[in-house]
Amino acid sequence: MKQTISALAMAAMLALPGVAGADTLRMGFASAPRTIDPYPFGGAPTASLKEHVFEALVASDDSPLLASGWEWTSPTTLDVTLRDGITFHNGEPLTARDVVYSACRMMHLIDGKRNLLTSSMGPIADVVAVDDHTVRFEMKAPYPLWVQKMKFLSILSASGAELPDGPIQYDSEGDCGVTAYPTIAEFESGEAAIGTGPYKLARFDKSGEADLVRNDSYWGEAPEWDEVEIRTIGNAGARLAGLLAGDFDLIENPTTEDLPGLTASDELTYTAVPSWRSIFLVLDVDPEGAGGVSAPDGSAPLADPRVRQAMSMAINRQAIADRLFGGEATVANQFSPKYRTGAPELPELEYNPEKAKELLAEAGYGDGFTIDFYAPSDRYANGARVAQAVTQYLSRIGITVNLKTQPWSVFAGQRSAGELGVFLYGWGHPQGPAQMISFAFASRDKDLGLGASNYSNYQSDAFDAAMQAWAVETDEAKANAHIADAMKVVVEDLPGIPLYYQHTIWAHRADLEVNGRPDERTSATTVSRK
Amino acid sequence: MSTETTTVDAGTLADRKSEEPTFTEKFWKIFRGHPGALAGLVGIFIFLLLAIFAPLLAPQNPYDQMRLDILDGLLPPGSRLGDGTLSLLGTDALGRDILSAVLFGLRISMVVALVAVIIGSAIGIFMGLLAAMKGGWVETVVMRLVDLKMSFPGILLALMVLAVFGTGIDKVIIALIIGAWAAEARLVRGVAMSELKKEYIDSARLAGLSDTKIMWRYLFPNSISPVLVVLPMSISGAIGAEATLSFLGVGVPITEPSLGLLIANGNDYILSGKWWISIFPGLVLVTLVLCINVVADRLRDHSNPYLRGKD
Repeated sequence: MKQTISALAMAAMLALPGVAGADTLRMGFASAPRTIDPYPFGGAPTASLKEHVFEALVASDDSPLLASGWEWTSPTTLDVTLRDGITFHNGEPLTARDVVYSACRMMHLIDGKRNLLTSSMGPIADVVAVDDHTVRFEMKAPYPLWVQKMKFLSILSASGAELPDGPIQYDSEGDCGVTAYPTIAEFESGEAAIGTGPYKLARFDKSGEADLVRNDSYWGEAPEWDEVEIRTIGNAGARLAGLLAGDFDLIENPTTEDLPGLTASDELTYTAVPSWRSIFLVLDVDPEGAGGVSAPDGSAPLADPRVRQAMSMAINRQAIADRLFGGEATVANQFSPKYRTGAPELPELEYNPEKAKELLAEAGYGDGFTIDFYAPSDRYANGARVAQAVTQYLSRIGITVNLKTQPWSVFAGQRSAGELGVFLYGWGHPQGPAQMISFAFASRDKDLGLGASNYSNYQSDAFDAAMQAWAVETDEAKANAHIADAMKVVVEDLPGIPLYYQHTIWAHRADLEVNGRPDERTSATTVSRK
Repeated sequence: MSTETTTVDAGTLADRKSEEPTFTEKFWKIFRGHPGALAGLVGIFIFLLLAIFAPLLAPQNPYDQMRLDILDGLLPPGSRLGDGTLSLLGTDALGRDILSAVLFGLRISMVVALVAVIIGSAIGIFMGLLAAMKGGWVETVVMRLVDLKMSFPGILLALMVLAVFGTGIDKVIIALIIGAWAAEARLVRGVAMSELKKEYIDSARLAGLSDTKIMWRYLFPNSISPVLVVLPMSISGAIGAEATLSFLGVGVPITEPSLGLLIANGNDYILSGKWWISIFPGLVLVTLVLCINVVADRLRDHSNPYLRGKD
């Protein structure tokens, strides 16, 4: 009997650390969050961390978050009502003043560097606290996109800054009468990292480490975990080893090759979620010719829509998804997945190498032509292999392909200089499908923010008309109809060739459930115990 | 005057030649009683044949993108490809037949290493002779360059070179040449310095021969034998260096894999049980380097007078 009791006591003692550990979620990130200051940088790792601590008026899926709703009282006036009873981590209540302050902070350049929304907030003339729970955004011109952009305006507590009492007068320089904004160092020390989110920042380190603790007075659903530890390991093998060794409960981005091993284990499993990131080929359709593309007769083959159609038909997308991703990729038929709000339903893109050859012959390239095909080697999951598979498919219809894989740093420089005629690219624009195609394919228009990344040098009046109509349309259904029109045009013209949509994969303990997000964010709020 | 000297000189050379053993005699002197080294030599010969005749021996041209198919990807050894070809050693993720890829990869690895070492050694020998012969500032410049090069780890230097020039077979060769010449230059200079003190050089000088003539006709043939001894070692080192660079993804283009790149490709799959992708190229690489090294060891031992007596 005595023995049994001591054995039980022993077991209890042994179990104790396990019990304490059970309320801590340890996550292994693939790349390090750059800072906890929510304003200067985008990018999934940084956003993943900051969204534990800070929230915005609008959630990532465009639904209300800190706002309870909004209304366009005129095409240039948006009234946003704040949710009741929300407090910051320091106990201060959330008011309209904090929103105005946050808008000021967004426009205030730190060390002369632009923040996430510095250019997006150009059309905003004024931000006014109408009363404690109503914020009014006044625009210079109709700007319906602002609703989607608000998801990047993390709301800070105005108590973190030195500023005079009373209302804050917004100005586009972000001075707003504020004498001192908190510095990045103050955010990273935790002093200024005061948001409304489900977790509070306990510690941040630039090496990619962060410790978070539960916000007991969180306004929404109670956070699942007492503590969250984020650590960063860049190497996929080492990250997986950390999971296998029990150092992590969940890791980001295991490689596709490691998935069969994960499912074979009883202790571990993985969750894959189709993400918003489309992987596609960018084709420079400039009739003057494109970098690295040459035809025997000196013409510009990519300027001919039949050639682009042929290239699209040459590629067996299903084989790429099945063979290179073990099924963890979704075949793309447009530039933004149809499971994304606002994206239209379009038919599948045909795979027909015979017809592709005929189209090439019809366009006068029966003897083929030569392209330099560029791909970043370290950016996209399986990127180098996908590039080789595409090379195989294009070679088979008679195109001579010189594949050039390069590190992202080299690749990005050449892309921006416009030197690449054909390249592999991936884009998961967090704002919506329309933003993605407008950035990538619209004629450049600075005022409406269109065509900023039109590496295809594509120009279509029908597409531009649809995008311009969408940019000023405040009615959601009508706006989506414009998106559908634009998408149809661009999928017909193919200034780029959609390949597949990436799946975001998390490997984790089998007793956890991960309700993964399509925007590639890793969040403790999506992880629960079964 | 000068004609006279040349005649005398040619005469002595001819005399010396007749005393020297023939190639076969030399060969047997080195390898007899050393079955390991002999086996290594046979191995090198076989690998050379495989590399030279790769296009005839390989069931598939692994660089012909038109013939590869990802639907043939990751087949285990002994499977048949979509077009009916037997894949004896299996395929990688992109449907490359491993046997064919290894044969072609062997070719690239050997060509890269040979070209780099031959050019690198030639530059090294020239620089070493020049430094020894000219002395003064030429020697200072050359030897400080050598010191500078030697102060960097070789692989780091190659990575830096490739970061600047970009990747590709030619760039890898340049990176390896930059890595190879310095050791040879230092070696040759040392030998040449001692040769320069010998009487035959003095005689040549007295006979009024120009520095250039002395350097090429007398100093060169008498100073290069140590380089020839280390040459095989340099080659195996270069094969290893190329494999390392390709493994790190900065070497040869991914559509034309060398042994190192093939191993890197398979490395991703080793935990998921697809062992054949990296094991076979790995075995070939290890065997090739081993063969060259046992031969190199034997050559070195043979050239070492202290060890030679103990044979």
